[in-house]
Amino acid sequence: MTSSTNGSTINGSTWRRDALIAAVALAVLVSLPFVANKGIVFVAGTLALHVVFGLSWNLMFGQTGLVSFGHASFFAIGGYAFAWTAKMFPQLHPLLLFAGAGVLGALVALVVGMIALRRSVGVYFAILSLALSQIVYLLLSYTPSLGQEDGLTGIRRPLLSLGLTTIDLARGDNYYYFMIAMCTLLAIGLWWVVHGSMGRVFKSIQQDPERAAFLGINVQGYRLRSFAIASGTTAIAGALYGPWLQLLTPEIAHWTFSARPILYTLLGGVQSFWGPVVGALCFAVLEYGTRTLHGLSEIVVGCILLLIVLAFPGGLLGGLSRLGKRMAGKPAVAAKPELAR
Amino acid sequence: MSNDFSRRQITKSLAVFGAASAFGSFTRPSFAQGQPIRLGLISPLSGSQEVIGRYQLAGATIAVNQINQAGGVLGRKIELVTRDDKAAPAAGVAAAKDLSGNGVNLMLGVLSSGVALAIAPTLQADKSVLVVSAAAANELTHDQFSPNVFRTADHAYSRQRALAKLVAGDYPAVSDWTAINPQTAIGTSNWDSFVDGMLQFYPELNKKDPKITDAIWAKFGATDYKNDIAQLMRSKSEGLYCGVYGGDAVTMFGQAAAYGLTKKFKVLVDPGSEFIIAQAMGKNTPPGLWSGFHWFYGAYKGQKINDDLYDAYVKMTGDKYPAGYVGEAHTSVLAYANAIQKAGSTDTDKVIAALEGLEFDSCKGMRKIRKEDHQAICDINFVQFGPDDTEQGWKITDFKVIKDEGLSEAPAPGQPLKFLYNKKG
Amino acid sequence: MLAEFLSPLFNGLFSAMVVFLFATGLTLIFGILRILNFAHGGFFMLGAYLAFTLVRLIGGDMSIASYLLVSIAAGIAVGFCGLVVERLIFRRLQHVDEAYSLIATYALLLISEGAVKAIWGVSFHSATTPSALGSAVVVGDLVMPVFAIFIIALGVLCYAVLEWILQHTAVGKLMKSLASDPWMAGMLGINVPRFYAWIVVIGFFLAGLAGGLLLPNQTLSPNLASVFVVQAFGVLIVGGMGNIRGAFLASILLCVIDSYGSIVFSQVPGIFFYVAMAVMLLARPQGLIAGARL
Repeated sequence: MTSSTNGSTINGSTWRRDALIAAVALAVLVSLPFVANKGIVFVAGTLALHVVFGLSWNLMFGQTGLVSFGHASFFAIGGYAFAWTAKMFPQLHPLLLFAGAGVLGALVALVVGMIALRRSVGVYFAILSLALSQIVYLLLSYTPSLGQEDGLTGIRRPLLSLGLTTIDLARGDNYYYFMIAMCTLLAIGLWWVVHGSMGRVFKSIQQDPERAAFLGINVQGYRLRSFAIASGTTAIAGALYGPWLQLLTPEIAHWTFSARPILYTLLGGVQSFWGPVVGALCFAVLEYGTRTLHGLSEIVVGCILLLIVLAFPGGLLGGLSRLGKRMAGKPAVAAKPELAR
Repeated sequence: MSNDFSRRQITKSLAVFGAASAFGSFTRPSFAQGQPIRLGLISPLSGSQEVIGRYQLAGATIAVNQINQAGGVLGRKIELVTRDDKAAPAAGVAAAKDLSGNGVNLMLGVLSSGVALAIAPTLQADKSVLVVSAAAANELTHDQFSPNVFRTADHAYSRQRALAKLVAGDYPAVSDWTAINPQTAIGTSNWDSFVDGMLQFYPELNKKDPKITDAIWAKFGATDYKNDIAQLMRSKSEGLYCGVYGGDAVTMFGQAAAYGLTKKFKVLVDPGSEFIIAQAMGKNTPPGLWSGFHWFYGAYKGQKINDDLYDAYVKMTGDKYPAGYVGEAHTSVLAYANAIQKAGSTDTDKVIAALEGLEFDSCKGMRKIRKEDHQAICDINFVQFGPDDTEQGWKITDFKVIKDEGLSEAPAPGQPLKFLYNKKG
Repeated sequence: MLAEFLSPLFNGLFSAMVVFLFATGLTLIFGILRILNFAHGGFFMLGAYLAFTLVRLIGGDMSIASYLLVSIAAGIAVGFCGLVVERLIFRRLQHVDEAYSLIATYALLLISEGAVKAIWGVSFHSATTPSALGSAVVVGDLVMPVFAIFIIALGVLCYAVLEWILQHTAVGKLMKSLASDPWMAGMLGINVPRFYAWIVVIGFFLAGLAGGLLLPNQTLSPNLASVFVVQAFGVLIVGGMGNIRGAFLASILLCVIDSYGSIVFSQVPGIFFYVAMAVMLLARPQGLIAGARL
């Protein structure tokens, strides 16, 4: 599991295994409204967005070694852009608006990245992204037309006209299914980027940027590409979030939200494509499980996270696979993931 | 954001009670006679607003206990199911979905306006009702009106206009007012509502116009107010509306002490920090500070509901100073009890019909829920604080009850609030 | 007139020293161990609450001496927590990438918030400024609280002491060599793990000390943990990778710019700190003091 992308070619077994995992996850998500109550369905829908959020962050980090502490600002840019245009121009097709939010997120990332990535890398870029995201956060909470810190209210779930039929996403669980479908497409897109030819170049940059540059790879260019793709994907996830919650507040641009994909990835494991998925699932389960422990939830969640990171220092997936190998009697591989550059 | 303030710690037994009642709620409901009626409390029970959530939990718990001791409603006991909204919209929606998913269709509580505005549009599809016990944003009964939302507490517009009426009447010599406000939606709306009240009541009572000087806007949650204080020290105004509230107000007044800010202004008012400032600052409490209250127990001494609630609160927590949130959560439970009794059912539509136009008695006297916009018309309470030589360090120097006679706007559900006098707002 | 120009400068300097005092321990740990300690604010808060309890226990009016002693005591107590954290957590994570310690410090932040709530409750508290520091110096129409002057002086003193230790003592030289090349330092016979433990303890001590010193300036609530953290990360990096001198300069620069910015553009208070931060990082991508560690 630690090396699902090591070969960097889409070999048959990786493809089959990942498709199987995805199919099982999808089956669970699709059947959820029939077996679980609305509370759990809401948590699952939100989790799907967080998964895309985490996967896209790890596209930068796990693939090209780029650390962003401000990823939430793209979630917010996508969310606010969609909600605001949907309110001002209700005649526009919602799919167009979702795509537009993604393009906007990617464009902003391109402009920021062209200036910033040339100048700064590593922790400097991380803190630069933190500063920019704080500016986005404060501007959102100060702008009267965006509702200040009360946010944009009354965001409608749109009508989705698909040529022959029109689906009212406001009815029943329609929006949930729409969101699951969109998130699946986004996740497949990210998987394809990671495992395709661009992913191979990304991987070589992550492993040794200097060597990659020596081999004639435009390291900055590829980092910029991963930044733009990740930001565009996140912006679409943000756009999906508005109608889901029917409200957007500046909190989604706050640095504590930017910390989420980082925590998901590190908790789940950087090396595997599925790391952020496992991390996000873990957080959702922890939060749902502690929701009635009034006053104790911080300590309980904190202690569990601490135990996990001490037991599986390299992320859950890496740790579990080592454990599995040891149980199977194979020699354990001492994995020391190299991340920071 | 509603008002985010706080007070003394409530005993651990309360938290344990809350947790226990929450755990007891996983079974699917049955509506057979004799089964308890379950009310869902959505409240910040962790995170930055937990201190208020504990008040709401205490008030609702006391109301439920009192009703059950008196034989329940329709012969059925009431059971409180609590959910944490962390004062965050997403967590609030998750809490409401969780409650309705578990068959709890009648909800109350909610401190933060952001959470209330997030939950409101989801209720109709889930066939649930929410009775808001604190969130004060005007939008809730205006632009963002939902037929499934009621508010049994006072709202920003009526509270701030009541405050203006108080100072216009009691301090006729102070005609020049300024403010220090947080740069937030509720900060803006509070100040605009106060100015609206000043422009109406000051001329009515004193036959001359007040002077309103531009407010100073501070970052919400700021750690340093020295620049703002320095600007205020150069102001010519005599009345200061301190719109920064709760912990921010404590920080601001703490840093202002060295400048002599509280001596410079003749009147200091606060939109709704309740006991927070005095309890945090003790001997440094700004003398003569008027603070807005959801409910002040001292103003209704001798009235049974008030006294019973106060005694039960002190007995339960050992704390002598219940914040207004205790009373407002208590009131929301009473509203449900009255409405369910009147409807003879816990069915969502029937309870909604019964809540509309409901008149009922509460810890601060009779309240009426308007049929049109679901806003309760009720008293508004203010308390004046000052420093004291006792161990506690502060004391209550005065209090006022302002009746809502011409304070609230005419109902206009679905439409933005129009200010009567303040054209800027 | 004087006040309009000078008071933002004075207040900016004051904020700068607040942020700098907060950031010293963070800078030290990041400079040497490369751990970005999310929990720093949590332990700063713990120091503030401990100092608050001590002040209550002593009772009466606080003298400057007891204020300083209380702060040092809070620092020592938090430093001890640092020892525990180092033994139980950081040491176990030293063989994996530093990034993973981020989850551990995030978990610690949650635990410290929960612990503060369990011990002191969730309501707001505030402590009085020692009465000797409670007045203000007035020059023309410029009002300067004595407490603010005191904090500015403390910040400068703290900087001077740290700078002296780093530049002129054997320990400081050791720290610098360790920061730039731990492997080499290990080869030279230095007990690197023990040295790391000391750095963590000192870093935590500085967090607790700052908590005590800034107690009269801040409202106590469990939210205090995340109040300064982002600004501190900013000065840490703008200064140049955990460089004490850089952090000192960066906090002055960013806070003074923010102070003037918030006056001139009063509709967007607090935004100029981050604007200045972004501009600085683009103008000097390696930080104000590039290259030098600590």
